[in-house]
Amino acid sequence: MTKRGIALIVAFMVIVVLTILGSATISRSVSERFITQRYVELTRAFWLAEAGVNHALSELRNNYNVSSGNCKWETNLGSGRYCVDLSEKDINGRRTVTAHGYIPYTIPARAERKIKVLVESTPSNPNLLEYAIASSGELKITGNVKLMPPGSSHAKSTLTFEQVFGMTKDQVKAIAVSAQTAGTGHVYTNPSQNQQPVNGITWVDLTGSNSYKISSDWSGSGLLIVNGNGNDVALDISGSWQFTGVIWVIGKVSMSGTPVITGAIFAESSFTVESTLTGNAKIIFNSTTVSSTFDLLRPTGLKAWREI
Amino acid sequence: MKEKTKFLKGFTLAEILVSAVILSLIIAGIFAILSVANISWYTDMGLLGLQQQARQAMYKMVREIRQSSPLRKTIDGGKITFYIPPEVYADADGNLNPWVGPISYYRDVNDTNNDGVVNQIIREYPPGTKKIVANDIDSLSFCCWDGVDCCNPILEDCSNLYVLQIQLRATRTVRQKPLVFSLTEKVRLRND
Repeated sequence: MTKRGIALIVAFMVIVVLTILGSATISRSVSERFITQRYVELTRAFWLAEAGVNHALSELRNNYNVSSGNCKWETNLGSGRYCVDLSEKDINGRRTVTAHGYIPYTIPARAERKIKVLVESTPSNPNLLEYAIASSGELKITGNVKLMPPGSSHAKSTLTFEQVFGMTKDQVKAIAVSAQTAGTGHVYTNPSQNQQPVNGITWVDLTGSNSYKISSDWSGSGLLIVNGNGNDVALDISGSWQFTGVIWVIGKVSMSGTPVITGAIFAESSFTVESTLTGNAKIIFNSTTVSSTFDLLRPTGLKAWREI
Repeated sequence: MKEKTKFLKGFTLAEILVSAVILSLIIAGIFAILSVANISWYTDMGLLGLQQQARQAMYKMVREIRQSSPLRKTIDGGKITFYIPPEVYADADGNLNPWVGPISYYRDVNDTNNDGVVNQIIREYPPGTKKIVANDIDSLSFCCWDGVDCCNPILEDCSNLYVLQIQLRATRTVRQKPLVFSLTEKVRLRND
């Protein structure tokens, strides 16, 4: 009676076959899981490296002359970390940033991605502008003109256009023309009174003894360059309005009324020319505004990006 | 004697027939299940392999194309040609080294690499040196993405768009069962 074991054998065979199939499937699934995990970690490491590049760019925009170093900026983010190497400036002032993204943040990391970028700085030197208003010639300030900080004016300045902009006037005008095409700038010749818009990069050419007159119902921002003949009044300001950014005038500035200007003004003229400020004008020097305004010309940014 | 024959009693014919039928049904059922599992195993493994190679190809393309720039790439439907920055950016005198390229990715529909196989994704760099990136690729297309849809280079200026869309479709037939896997990725070009 106990010799009938066919059911047991069949059941055993079925179990063996199913076990083989099941273990193969599990093995494949585990392998897939590891591949997927590796992919996820490499992707996270990549974005951590990107975060490192952006960190470095942010630091370099604040201070391009910051010292070099390996793992100069290191931050833990989520389950990973990034570490950024910064090179010295090369012969042309460019710097190389190498950002490493690691998962996990502990050492040794399972996944690493590296991004190498070449960073170039704006050729301009906005830090040379240190006063609310400065002039190559004389400066006559009367009335209730408010300069912030108090006394922030400089007459007979020896600064030149090339020193501050790091480029010639033609080069800057070419940038303004390109900006106009891109919708981020304007180029005017002998503009009418209160010509607008003035934002982004605005280049104004004046012929003869013409001037750009701004009286009221006007506002502006960005970089305004008024290219006069250097002797006559090029920018004639009156009325009540606001401007944020940098105004560079090649010629004489005549200011009255109650305009509020945040940033800086520079009047480039011969030594004998006298710019005049009267009325209740308010000029607030702001180095951050000045610096970001010059970024319109060519910001500190990437020249090349490569994953290594 | 009577006692002895009682213990030697066998199965009746009916019992054997019934048990044989039941056993046949069980074995047939098991076989059918195993057969379906077998087909399912092969098709699933085939699909996994297809997905894996499509993803690897996409990953490789994205990783390399990302290093290009809008003005340093050309797209001709299923073919992209581009340049990437050099490994060493500048020489000792500070002069920038030339960009690396042209690098191309395209679907080989005419067996240009003479390996007897078509529908492969080929990476070509330097020109004339071809490397197989993936097999069984039914379609591959590149386009500049304007934020809403693909930019039509005939009707619009697409040269200032930084985002590319890559679409590929892989197909394979396993045990008479067609397998299809499609993948779409968008990649932002990192260089100007």
